[in-house]
Amino acid sequence: MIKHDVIVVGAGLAGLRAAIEAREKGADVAVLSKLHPVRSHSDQAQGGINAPLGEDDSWEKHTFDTIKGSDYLADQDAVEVMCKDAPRAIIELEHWGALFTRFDNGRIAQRPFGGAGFPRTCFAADKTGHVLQTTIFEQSRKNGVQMYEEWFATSLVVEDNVCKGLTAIEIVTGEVHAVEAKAVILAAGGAGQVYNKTSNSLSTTGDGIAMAYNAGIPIEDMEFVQFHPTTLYGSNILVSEGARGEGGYLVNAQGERFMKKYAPDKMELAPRDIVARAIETEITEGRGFANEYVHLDLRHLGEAKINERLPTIRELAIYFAGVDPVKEPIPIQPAQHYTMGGVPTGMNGVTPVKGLYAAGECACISVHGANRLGGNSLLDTVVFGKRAGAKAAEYAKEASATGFPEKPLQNEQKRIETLLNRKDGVKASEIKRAMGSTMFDKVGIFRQKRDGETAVKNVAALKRQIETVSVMDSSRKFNTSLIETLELGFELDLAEVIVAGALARKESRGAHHRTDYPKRDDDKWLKHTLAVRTADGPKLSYKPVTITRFKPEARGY
Amino acid sequence: MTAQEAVFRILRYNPERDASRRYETYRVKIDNRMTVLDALEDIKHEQDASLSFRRSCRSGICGSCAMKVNSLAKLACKTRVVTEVENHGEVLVEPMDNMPLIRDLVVDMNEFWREIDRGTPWLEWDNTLEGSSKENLLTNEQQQVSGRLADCIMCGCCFSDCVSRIFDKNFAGPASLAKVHRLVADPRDKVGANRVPALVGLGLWACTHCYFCWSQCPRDVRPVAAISVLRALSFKQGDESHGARHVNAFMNSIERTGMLNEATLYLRTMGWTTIRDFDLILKMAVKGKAPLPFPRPVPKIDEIRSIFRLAHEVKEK
Repeated sequence: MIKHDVIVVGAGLAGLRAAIEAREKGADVAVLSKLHPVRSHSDQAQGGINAPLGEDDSWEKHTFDTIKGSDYLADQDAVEVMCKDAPRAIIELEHWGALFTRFDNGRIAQRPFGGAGFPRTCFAADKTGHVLQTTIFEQSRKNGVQMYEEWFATSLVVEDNVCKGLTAIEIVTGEVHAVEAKAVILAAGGAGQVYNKTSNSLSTTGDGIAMAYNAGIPIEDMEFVQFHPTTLYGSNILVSEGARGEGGYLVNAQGERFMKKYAPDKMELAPRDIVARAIETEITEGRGFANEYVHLDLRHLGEAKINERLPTIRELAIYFAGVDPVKEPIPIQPAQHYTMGGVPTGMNGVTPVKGLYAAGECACISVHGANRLGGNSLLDTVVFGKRAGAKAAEYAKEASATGFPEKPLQNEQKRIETLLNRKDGVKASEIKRAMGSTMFDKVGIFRQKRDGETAVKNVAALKRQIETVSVMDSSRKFNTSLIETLELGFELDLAEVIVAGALARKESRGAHHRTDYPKRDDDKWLKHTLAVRTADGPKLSYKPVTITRFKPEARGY
Repeated sequence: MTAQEAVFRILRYNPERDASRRYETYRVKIDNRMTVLDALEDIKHEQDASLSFRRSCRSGICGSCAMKVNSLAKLACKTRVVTEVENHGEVLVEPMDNMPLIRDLVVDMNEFWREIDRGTPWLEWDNTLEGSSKENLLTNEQQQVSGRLADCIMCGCCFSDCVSRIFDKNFAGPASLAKVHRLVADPRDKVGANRVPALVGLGLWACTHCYFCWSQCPRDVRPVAAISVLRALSFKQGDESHGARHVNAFMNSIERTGMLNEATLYLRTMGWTTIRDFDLILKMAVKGKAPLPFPRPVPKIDEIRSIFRLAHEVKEK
């Protein structure tokens, strides 16, 4: 049996930052990830990471922008912690080797981003995620963090509200292992693949959140799903908010910079929920192109600036959309981008289960509330990854190993064996397609009761179908169909929670917009959703939002 | 272009079922924008679920889907099917080279990562900086070289298609040396140029400048150019390995005689150890294949030497 003090699930920025910290605190720590660390989804972040470094800026202003951006659903004490720690986190990454773009005076450059009162977003051209992920991976190697690469965690083992470890498939052999740990840190990312139109990688399947849900932990605010305004039409590959931060225009088919109707002050740099809704409205009201997309126009920035600040965007647009942004506008449309909800944690990653921690996109602290500001997710990963790592190491030092029960491993082995041996059944890819379109069409940018009820029915039907799914490949070694099928199980669990939360929440707040309840309703709905798994599907309850210094007020841009 | 069909010939190998590698043919409806990854996903989900390959971001940044497409290592997600069909008539898909095969298009990349690790691939920063609330001041120009090299996504394409690696398992490979140069070129790295002496041990001189690592890199990292810079640095630091001596002997032969004399090249590179190959040299001499190590200069050798003089002067300046 594999045994460590601390096991981190996921090797993106949050996971590796947690592991480095836990190791520095003297814990025996290992990272388990279904991908090699450099393949993690953090690598795909483009635009940047926020920190109030400017002389006129302050953590208070950053905190306010974040809370207003969250439509007042963020827990304000947590946001304060994040914004206060932001400069330190950036300097640390710089010292570790991150190649940030610089101002002429040699300081780290900052660009304007949506919903921010100051140019507060540090960046490495438009490949910030890649630069940070590489840097933090390097430091984890230096630090000697042990890795289980291409291991897929299938379930958490929790007894009497204490986490004992997990079960995982070693993908290369197909063997199902018990992994014992005094502390487990979930840092397995978001659930973008629940939607068919998403900027997320094919691996972003919500495994960590779903494992926590399956272990009986109530998961928080899953109906708050961010749709990024600008993804390439067709492939939904991300076009960074940095493109608008550098001055890009959004233009409809009538040649109008339509954001003036939706956010006259901030224009293209309004928060993402507002811009995504604006684009969707333009398209549905017939002012888009081919009823599918609008234009992101960068031509006026000039070739030199595009090459210096947005080289990846240029390359991606040329390659995946056949359009050179220097000469033509980029066809873009909104797509799923970020999971604001997740495993509920305190400010040190602590979850309701002893010995279980969470950080990064799979956690819900909540610093993003109903809508995350661009540039705050990378910050979230390194600030709270570090804190979760420290806390888990501290806990593991005190805790004594309580033994790993036999039953969960046997159950998982049996479950997977059954799955592999089922000859006939529905194809996982068919279920996935149906789930993705139901979620985008019925629980997408705009929501309403009737669509929500259809989605409930559709997802329930798909959940019944997956009971008879066939992997169509019974071999053990590197069986990617098996992994995809297990991921789909996780995705469906979360789809059900998203739908339930969205149908129940009779108001519009941040990214959750109900056309039948178009106003925010603080009297009834200024609260977090919690969904717990029962035999009859998710059961919802609510908990209050922590408000410290900023009273909810009207949110205009 | 309207929808048409492409033929995919894909290498298949499942260690649990197949005694050896085989090829399977699939037909896929394609359009103008379809990538090889799109087609593989289509095959997996519509025709044959047992086909195994790695993939994740589908936008050319995570480096998962490196494989050989019509015999060259590429990212499947950045390779368009129509282009392959136009150039080759079909799409031949195989796993990367220079790494053991696990299954279908999946190779064991541990060997690649071990070679990366040999270059101590992390920035050694000054511990006194810890707790410092200020960043290092750097210009974009100072970061330019490291910046290009840091674009590397560790996909393995260069390693797969590296000709030298086939024959020399001590050669750490293009990505590993590119990573070393990324750190050497970073003013913040405490070790900096002190990383260079170890590079002879990593096979610094094994690269044959075939340029496959340049042409196959999906991120335009240009590892071979990094290797050239590292060689020059090593040379400056007094490298006296066979590789460095070979370069010297090369120059020397041209400067003295205006031509390349293989015999003096060999003697000057290998020194006294030439005697170990005496047997081979004798055999070559008998067949008239070994030139005498006493070449006569070409006519007008002075002109060549004046070029060298000028080059030395420029270098000193």
